[in-house]
Amino acid sequence: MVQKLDRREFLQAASAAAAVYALAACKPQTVEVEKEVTRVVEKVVEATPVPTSPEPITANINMALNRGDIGDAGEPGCSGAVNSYYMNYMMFAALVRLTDKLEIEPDLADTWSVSDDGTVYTFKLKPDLKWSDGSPLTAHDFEWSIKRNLDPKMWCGGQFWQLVDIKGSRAYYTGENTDPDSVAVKAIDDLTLQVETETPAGYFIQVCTLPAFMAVPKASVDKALEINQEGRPQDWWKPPLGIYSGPFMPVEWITDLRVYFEANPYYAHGKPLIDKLNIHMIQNTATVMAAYEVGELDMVDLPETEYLRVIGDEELLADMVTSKELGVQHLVWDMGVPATEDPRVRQAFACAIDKDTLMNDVLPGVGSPAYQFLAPGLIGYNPEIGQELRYDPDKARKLLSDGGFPNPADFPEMLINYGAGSTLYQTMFEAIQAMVQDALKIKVTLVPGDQTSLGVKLADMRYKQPLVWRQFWGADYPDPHNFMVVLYTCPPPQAAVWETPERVLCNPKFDELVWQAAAETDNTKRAELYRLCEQQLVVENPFVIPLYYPTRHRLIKPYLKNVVIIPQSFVMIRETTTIEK
Amino acid sequence: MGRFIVRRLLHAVATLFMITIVTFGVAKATPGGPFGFDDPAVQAHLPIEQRQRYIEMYGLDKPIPVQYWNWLSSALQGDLGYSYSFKNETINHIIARTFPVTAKLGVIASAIGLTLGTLIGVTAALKRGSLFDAAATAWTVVFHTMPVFVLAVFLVIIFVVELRWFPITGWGTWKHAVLPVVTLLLGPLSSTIRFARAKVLDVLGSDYIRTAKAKGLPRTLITRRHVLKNTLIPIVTLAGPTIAGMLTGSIFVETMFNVPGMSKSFVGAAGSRDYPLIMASTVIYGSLIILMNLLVDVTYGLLDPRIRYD
Amino acid sequence: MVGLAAIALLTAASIFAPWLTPYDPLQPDFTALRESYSWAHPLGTDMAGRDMLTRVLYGGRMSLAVGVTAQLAVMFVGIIIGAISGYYGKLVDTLIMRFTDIMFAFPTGMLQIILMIAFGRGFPQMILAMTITSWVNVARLVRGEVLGFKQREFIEAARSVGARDRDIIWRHLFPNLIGPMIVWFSLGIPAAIMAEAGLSFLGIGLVPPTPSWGIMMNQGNEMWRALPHMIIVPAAVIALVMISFTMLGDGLRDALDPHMSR
Repeated sequence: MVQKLDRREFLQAASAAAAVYALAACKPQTVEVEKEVTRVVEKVVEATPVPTSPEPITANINMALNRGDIGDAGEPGCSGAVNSYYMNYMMFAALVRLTDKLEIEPDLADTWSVSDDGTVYTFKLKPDLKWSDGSPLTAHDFEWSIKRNLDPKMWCGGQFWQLVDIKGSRAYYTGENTDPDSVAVKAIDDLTLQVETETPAGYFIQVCTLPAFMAVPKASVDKALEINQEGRPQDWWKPPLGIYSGPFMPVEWITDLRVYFEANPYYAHGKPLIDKLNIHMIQNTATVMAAYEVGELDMVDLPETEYLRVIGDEELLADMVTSKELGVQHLVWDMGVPATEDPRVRQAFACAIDKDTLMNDVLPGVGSPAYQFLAPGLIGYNPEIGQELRYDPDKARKLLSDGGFPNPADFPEMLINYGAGSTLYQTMFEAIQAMVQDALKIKVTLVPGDQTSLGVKLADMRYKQPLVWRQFWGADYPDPHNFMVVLYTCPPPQAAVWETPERVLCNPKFDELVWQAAAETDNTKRAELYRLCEQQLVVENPFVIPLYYPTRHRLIKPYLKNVVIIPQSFVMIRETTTIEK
Repeated sequence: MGRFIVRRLLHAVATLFMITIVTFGVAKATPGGPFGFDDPAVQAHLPIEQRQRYIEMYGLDKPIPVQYWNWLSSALQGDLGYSYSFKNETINHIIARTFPVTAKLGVIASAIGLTLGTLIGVTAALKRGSLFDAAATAWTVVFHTMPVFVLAVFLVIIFVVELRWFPITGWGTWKHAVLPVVTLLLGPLSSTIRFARAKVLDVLGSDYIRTAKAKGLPRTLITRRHVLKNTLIPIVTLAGPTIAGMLTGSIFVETMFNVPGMSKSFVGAAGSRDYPLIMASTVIYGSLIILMNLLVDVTYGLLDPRIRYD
Repeated sequence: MVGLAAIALLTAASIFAPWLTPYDPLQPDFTALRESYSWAHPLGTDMAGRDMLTRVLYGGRMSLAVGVTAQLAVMFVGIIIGAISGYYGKLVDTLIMRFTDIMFAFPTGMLQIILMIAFGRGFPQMILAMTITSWVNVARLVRGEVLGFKQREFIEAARSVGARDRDIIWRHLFPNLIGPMIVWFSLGIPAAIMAEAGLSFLGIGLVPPTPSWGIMMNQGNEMWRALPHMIIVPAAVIALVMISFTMLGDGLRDALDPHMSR
């Protein structure tokens, strides 16, 4: 999923990785208007279930971990890729968490309230919280962890955006203010944590589910023996140093091979029913499928290339669980290239791609065609947006001609970079190449390979000839703000320094609308503002060409019960998940 | 003999030195850096101190010869530095974790491949024209021509999915190692068979065997004293290339069977332009090959008295 | 001879591909996606609806071109350096041989991967990478032959009648090198084809959509279970070519090298 190309590491982290929570079917999150204490009925789980069978219940799942992911996996404040998020959620707990319906439910917090002006959040923790070694876990742990994540010496700058809404965070992070107490996160007492945001932000409670808000054990961090190359204490999250607040605790950790977990007896929601959770890290798709078919793995992500086989195989099809992913695969324009300066040229390109044929016929099961940036289910999603840029070769030729190229032969060679060359993307982009060449009669060249790998360097290609690259944005939390702000505002809030704006074309109109929408609390008005944002981003002055909303398929053995499918992103193994053979 | 070894050792060191220069040169001539370091769009998001830190940590502000010297001097002290892509592991640590796995795999596969290959090859040649000979030849043709990565998929489908003889997830027990070893050794096995068979036939046709036969020596004695001895010596030379081939072959095998070895980490390093890790892997593989060649030369000398060292 | 015939047939089929097949190897056909074997598409179609037979034939152009060009380049560099080294001897020889030692110590596959990453994907890059990694073998071989010839009477005779170095190398040494070189050439081509397949398989070889057997195998590998013909076709063709070349090479060696006769 990590195939971001441009502002790599961080954004990559943020976006690609960004793992996609979604709004349950058109039911917008309404926590922002909650003022009073919310008490969500807690699932009552026996704190220490007496094992009835002598055999421990063991689940085996696979994550196709990328190399970079595992490096961040233990440090929630620096975590940005989908797989490291997953590891974080296994090991540590935040204040609140998402349900399978994308509602917010308490994790370590018991209740929370928001002040009248919408800026002060007060969390009451559950009483008697404990780390996995039995020592007490208090609000002070949260205060310490959040401030630690903002410490400029933590060097995990890319993930700063998760905490950027907190008052005083920017000044402390950029070193303008060196006093940690200037950050508005405060433990009033052992059970009460107060967080103040800079401005009212309706999406903030959703942001609180992100790993940067997890409590990290100071005791373990202090015991760390080694400093990693970015200057952070390392390996404190691995056995034997680590103590944990999440449902599972790692007992064996072998990079590039596997992480074995055991249930945390002191988890706030009760000890998980699964005693042992084995996460394997197999990347080869054929190997993953073989391992699932022989029963060595109980749950795997279905490789897109195996979809066609699985739908023809009754046995496997019965295990397939499909969900829509709250994210969008899109092409990003390299702005500032003379040939594509006229918006009509970029619109022409969008009109030349037949997304319906592409997604329905060429790549069945991969996703549904997208005409706008926000995914269905989000506030501001409006099926009418972007329809004027549907596939229409005649219109495409006209737009190109109006945009200054009446003779397509004058148009310079166009480059498409699509990241790592898996069969899926290769087929997809070979088809797109043919579509564009047929419709516009221009020359299109494919440039496979990640920006940093395999002999392609996107930075070397930029600003010279027409160029688009494939990018995936997956939601970190189910709010349109997350889609709009991180990649295409100038400067994006997470940028610590912004020295090169002249190389990035900005759209001030778009920026203004995004910030207006962020501060708005009325959902109808927000929806309208996001519609205007979309109009700018996708139609009027297109920075991006949306391609499709991905569909995720997983194979889950029928005996693995009660997995929590957080739409479009994770299949969580939580305290109630179990195996009944 | 002693002088020869010393000279070869010095020579080996010089070669290794050149390898580092070549690899370092290639690495520096191509773009890429830690965490998108040289990309202005990424830099915009880095706090200035952090950028400074990267520069200092990797010594990127120094002239390239100085960078090379720094790398070399710390490498000589046994410190291979930091990888660009593994934030929490030094390269020493990565190598210590992955190298034994690859080495074990390679040694077992080479040992089996060379011994079995010689046995089959010699037998086939001695029984030339028999059914066994034909089968051996057919075998070599098939496995000589099939790419390792295709072979690997075949084996997974047959032995894991269909027959369920071996596990595929994880690593650690002998059962996990069977398929990788088999995949790895099939190629070298067939080249050894070909080589051994050809050598034996060569020897059988030579004058001294004819003389021995003419003298009326028993067949078994001829085989043992002349044929085998004169065949086995050249086969020793195969060991070097075979082990080198194992290293390349294991790139595919380790990815396919999810073996946590060094080749897998090399491919990953190559994929993410992790030059420090690429350097380290190349140097280690290079020294291994140099060492193997040295050993082969020495062994060859011990086995064949006609060879003189001077 | 069977090998030679098979190679000739395949080469001819690749060269005359445009006349043999009505399809375009690059143009997707969205009405014929992922088809199995049929009269219209004897080897089926791929994920973008392109005819597999067409792609194999056009892919053959690319793969054979890589094999032949790479070997020609390797020969060219190897023969020149080897001949110079062997003929002049002394310091030149020592320097060159030390350098070949270094090249020998590099694992070939790894060096190719590193070079392809440094150069970037593409046909010329690949030829360059293969030349850099393989010329040493030829150079050594040639040097050995040259050293052998130098002792022979006819060279001394030529020299004694005042022939120039260049003439000696050209008139006397090269004709004697042709035999071993042809053998080497016939074994080097399949090796280069295999290397192309491996590099393209890793995604650092040639640039798609231009088909080569390696690229086709790369695309087919992930589709093993779903669309087996996508890997079986290129793998079978590669195996066929490898077998043919091996047979040809063996045959040539037997024919050209009297020592090997049985």
